[in-house]
Amino acid sequence: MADTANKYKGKTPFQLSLMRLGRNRGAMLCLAVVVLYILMAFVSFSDWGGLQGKAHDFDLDHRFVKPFTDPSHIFGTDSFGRDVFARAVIGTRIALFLGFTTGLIMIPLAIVLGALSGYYGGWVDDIIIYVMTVIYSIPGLLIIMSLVQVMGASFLVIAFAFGVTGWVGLGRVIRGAFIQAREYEYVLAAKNLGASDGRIIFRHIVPNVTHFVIVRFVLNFVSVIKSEVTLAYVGLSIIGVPSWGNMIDLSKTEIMAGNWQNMLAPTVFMFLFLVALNIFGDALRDALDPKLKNVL
Amino acid sequence: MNEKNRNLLEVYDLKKHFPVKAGIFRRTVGQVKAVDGISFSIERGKTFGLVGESGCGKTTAGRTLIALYEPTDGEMFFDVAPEIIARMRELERQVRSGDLTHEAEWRELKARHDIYSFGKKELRAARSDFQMMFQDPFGSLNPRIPVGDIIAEGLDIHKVYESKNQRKERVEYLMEATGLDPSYINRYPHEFSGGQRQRIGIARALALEPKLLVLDEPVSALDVSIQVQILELLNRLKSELDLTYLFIAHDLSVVEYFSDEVAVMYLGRIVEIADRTSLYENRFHPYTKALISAVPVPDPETKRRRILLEGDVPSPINPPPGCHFHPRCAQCMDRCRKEMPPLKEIRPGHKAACWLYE
Repeated sequence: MADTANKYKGKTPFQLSLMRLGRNRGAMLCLAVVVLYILMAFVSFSDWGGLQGKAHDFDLDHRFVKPFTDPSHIFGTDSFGRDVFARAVIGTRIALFLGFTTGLIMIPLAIVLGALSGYYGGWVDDIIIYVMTVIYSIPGLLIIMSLVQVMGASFLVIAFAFGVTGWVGLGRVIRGAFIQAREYEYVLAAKNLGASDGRIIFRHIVPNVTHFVIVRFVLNFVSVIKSEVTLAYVGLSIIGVPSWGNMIDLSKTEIMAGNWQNMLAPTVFMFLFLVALNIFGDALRDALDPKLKNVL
Repeated sequence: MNEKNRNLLEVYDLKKHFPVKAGIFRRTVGQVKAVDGISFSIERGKTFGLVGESGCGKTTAGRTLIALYEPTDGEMFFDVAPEIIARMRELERQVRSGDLTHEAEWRELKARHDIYSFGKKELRAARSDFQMMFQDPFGSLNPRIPVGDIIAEGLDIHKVYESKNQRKERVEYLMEATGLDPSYINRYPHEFSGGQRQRIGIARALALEPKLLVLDEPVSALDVSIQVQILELLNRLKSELDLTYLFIAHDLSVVEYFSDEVAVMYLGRIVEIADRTSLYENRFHPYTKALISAVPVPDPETKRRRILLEGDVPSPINPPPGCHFHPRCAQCMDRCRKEMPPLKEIRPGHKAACWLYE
């Protein structure tokens, strides 16, 4: 008994959350899958096992190899004889790049604007809420498509487009949390000690919204990868680079002829990654939720 | 007048109205008059009690007083010489009545001495003189910061130490002074009990050596046995550190035990104000009578005549006309429904706002 009590002494609530998360085996397994994907994204830069050649070179003698029939092409080949497994591995890089970059654009935007809006209220709030509502009322894909049209199709532009449309939801949540936190007694106490607005916002309130941010960052991958597929399907992604979206786009002409290889590989890759990420994101949210402290 | 006996704080006509907004254009459709013109002064070294039911505006009054909420109207002089205050009141009367010859002087004095006219930076610097201790032992400490840093927050903000060691010594001194074990310096708030958390709140408030401490129901969330410990601690600190208290509470027995002077609030206004003995013995205002009659007496043999109040506290958005208390008052007269009674001295040092004593 004394030992268990000692184990928790002097630990930050965040450390306790991580301990809870560490005990969750399913979540740890999913984390391992996610780490594997990250490694895969780095490996895709190398030519390990002739990866680049398999993914890019035409091999017209081996077109439309069906999945699971040829050990050298596990998931089969496409209309040019390229190995779809190798292409999906390279596609991982783009999916992860988009997920991370979008998060890095979206999260600072959401924190700063949400914080300003919720903390100061008044006309600052009115303006920011107006901007949020405008972005929210236009279908996201429409904004993204027009941005890509105007600025040209590159993955950075796509990430930027996802970022400027994606921050609204998180920004609203953060605004709400700030409105609530503004009246917390410890925030009033800090104010009374003479703390500046910046100190109150970043030292006392932002730590209260980190769990929203982390969860949103994780779940953001899901929506970005889905959107990239949609974008590629309507022909607005980058041609010539194997992304999951591109592959699914190509498969639309082949699938009626019974060639489902191009559909299979990205779907399997995406499915595994998104499931693992989702479960991990959920577990992370539960672990960071102080209300569930004693349950897990 | 010598330094010792002069008023540490004088507040005049303090008001805090919260606008009520409605409709698409967020038009202001009404005002919640949470604090509606209260004036009082606190003598240096004394404890001033502020009592009233829940919702009467006492917490808002405390928070507005120390400018945590921006006051709608009012003036607050903190540790200002009485001659200056008298001069300012005189000038203000002149300016308000249309005589603008001394307006510039008045404005200048106001900017220099009235806390509510201070700029943002000056106010931030002035805040170290008046600190607050909060009601909720759980909500008043940031759960993600170790107690040592919570206590040192004020020291960090005002940079009042030269070395890390000095900071640590100060924090340990404060922890010891408030009855906490200094070895707990790196622990987190969730590892402490309610009483200990209130001690942490006291230590944090004392870090900057304030002159005034606003105690916002400091013990109402604690067990009775712990309440006494905290009150004893506050009493000891008061004499040791030469503090002055504004004590906000709803528990009249605690207020009687703890305060030198008591003001009773009802719906944003002070209805009676007197020193403790006079208030508890004489109780002029019918509301004060009802409140005091509700204090339980720990003796089953005593027959008490409890004055029961009917109804609830009326809405501060739409308070009843005349005396705010008249719908619940047993001695209500015609006049009470029409005119608001002023706070008048009934005996030396004892003021009440009631038409019965006209």
